[in-house]
Amino acid sequence: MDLATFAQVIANGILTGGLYALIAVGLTLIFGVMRVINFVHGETLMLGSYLTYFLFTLYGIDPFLSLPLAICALFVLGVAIQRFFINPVIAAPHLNQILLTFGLVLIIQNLALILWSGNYISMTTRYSAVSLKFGPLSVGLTRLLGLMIAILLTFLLTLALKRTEWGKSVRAVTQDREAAMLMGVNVNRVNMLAFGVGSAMGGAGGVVTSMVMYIFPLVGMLFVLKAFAIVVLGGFGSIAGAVVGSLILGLTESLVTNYVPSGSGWAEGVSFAVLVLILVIRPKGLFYVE
Amino acid sequence: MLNRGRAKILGLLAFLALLAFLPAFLGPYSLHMMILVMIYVVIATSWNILVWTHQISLGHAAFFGIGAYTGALMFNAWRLPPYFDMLLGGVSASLSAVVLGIICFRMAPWALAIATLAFAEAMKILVIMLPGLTEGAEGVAIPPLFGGEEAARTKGYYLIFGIASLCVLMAYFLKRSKLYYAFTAIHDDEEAANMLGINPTKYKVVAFTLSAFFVGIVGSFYAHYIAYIDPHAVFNIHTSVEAQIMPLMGGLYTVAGPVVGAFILTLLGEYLRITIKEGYLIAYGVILVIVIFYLPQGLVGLAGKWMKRK
Repeated sequence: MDLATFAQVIANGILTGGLYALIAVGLTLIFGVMRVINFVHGETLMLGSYLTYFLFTLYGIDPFLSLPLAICALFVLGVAIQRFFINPVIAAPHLNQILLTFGLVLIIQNLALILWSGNYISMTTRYSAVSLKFGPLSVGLTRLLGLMIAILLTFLLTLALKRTEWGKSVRAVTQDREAAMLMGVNVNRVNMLAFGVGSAMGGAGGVVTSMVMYIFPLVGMLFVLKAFAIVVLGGFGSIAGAVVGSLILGLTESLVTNYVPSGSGWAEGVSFAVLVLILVIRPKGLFYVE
Repeated sequence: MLNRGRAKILGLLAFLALLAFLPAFLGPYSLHMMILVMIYVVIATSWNILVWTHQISLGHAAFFGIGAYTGALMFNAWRLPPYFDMLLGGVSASLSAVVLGIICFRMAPWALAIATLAFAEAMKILVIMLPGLTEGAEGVAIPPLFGGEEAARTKGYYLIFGIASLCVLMAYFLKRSKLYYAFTAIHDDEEAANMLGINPTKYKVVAFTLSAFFVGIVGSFYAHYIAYIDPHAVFNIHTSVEAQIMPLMGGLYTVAGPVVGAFILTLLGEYLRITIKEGYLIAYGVILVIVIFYLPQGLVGLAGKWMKRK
């Protein structure tokens, strides 16, 4: 085996894993707090992508400047979705919640199809083609910056969960909803903020996505399925699990793409194989603690 | 004076007679639409059976596709009698449901929702990536059984009408059987059901298997009817979406609901597809949200309320 190629494959896997983490962390946060299967999460990514794209092509705003904008916009949207759609069914059976978020996905996705057509689009910035050399490794600048954004945001979120009052309430609700309520935690508020923050993370994922790949209205579905595989792999509700799961998925996909015959086709199936495997061997995920 | 029960039966008989004589009145396009309606009656009714156990599948397209491919490939390889290969389509769909069910039912209800969605995508990838076995993305052509000829289309209609009737009949008797009580016992209180000696996993697997069986059959029927299948057409997420929204609109937990939903939404869907073209599924999303918020009993429930008030 060629060592340089192998190193490149691993590097690619880590870069992809970083992007996945951005999406999966938000999803697992929302699930941990509210126990809701949130299919809308993929659409926050899609909307973040289009927002970045339009800001860039229409107003020439650099994607990195769009990042805080996308985060704020998707935070507000997330809070609104939670307030007006999820909250009313929070006590309803899982079935209704799943169908509801699925319905919202259909609305958002098809609205995008109608407004922006189903064409694949991509944007080219001045630095899109720049890649950095590290010895034998070549890494695209945007992908590297994307990874850094992922690390930074996940770090900030972890910090917020550890240090702030809100973070403590989030962890309390994640561990035991009823007890948290009895201790005077305003669960409604925690839910709303968690959904907003989770959606904002998805939006940030969209900003990064728009820089490194094609975007199209159905891109959210593609990512949300992978994010679910990651979250199941890492253990529902575990942030650390989501990060590790993302890296595992990114690396496996990269390895399969390069070392399996017609691997790029098979790579699309890796997440599903991982999902089934984990459900069979360790249904609670790698990081589940009693 | 007719009592309500007898009126219901008479109405139902009239409805069936109307459906039986339809080919005499309809042109080829309308008849084609009615065949699609019947296909969806089966898919919606089957999907709804799983809901009785409070589980949902977001990937019934997987069973449709498995049935279609099993039927088409076996028919092409061995020239099996067509009805026999439809049966095999149903059996292979059921087998995959058993395996998937055993894996997922040990977990929370959302596990199956996610797993089925992923399963349908995974099956599509498998079919595309194994062209030696499945002819890959190019799809499979099957000699038409019913073809485009008027007489053959009529034959196809009667066949699917028969299959749909069987499927609804199965749902009807299931609803009145002991099995149904076991199903609902699970969904009301799993632990209590367990204590009463009802093994929840077992019954969920039974429901899921039944739920996949007829969908596999109609998948195979579809392959014969259209005479050509490809992975994107038969493992289509639209099928999975329609499978859930039709029963939901008509009324979950009822037998009539999915049938009503299939009739309305197949025809509405066709109309929207022609008028809006891209993105017509937005209407489905809106219906889904409205029904969950305002019409939890579906149209059948609404009709029941309205009749009581009269």
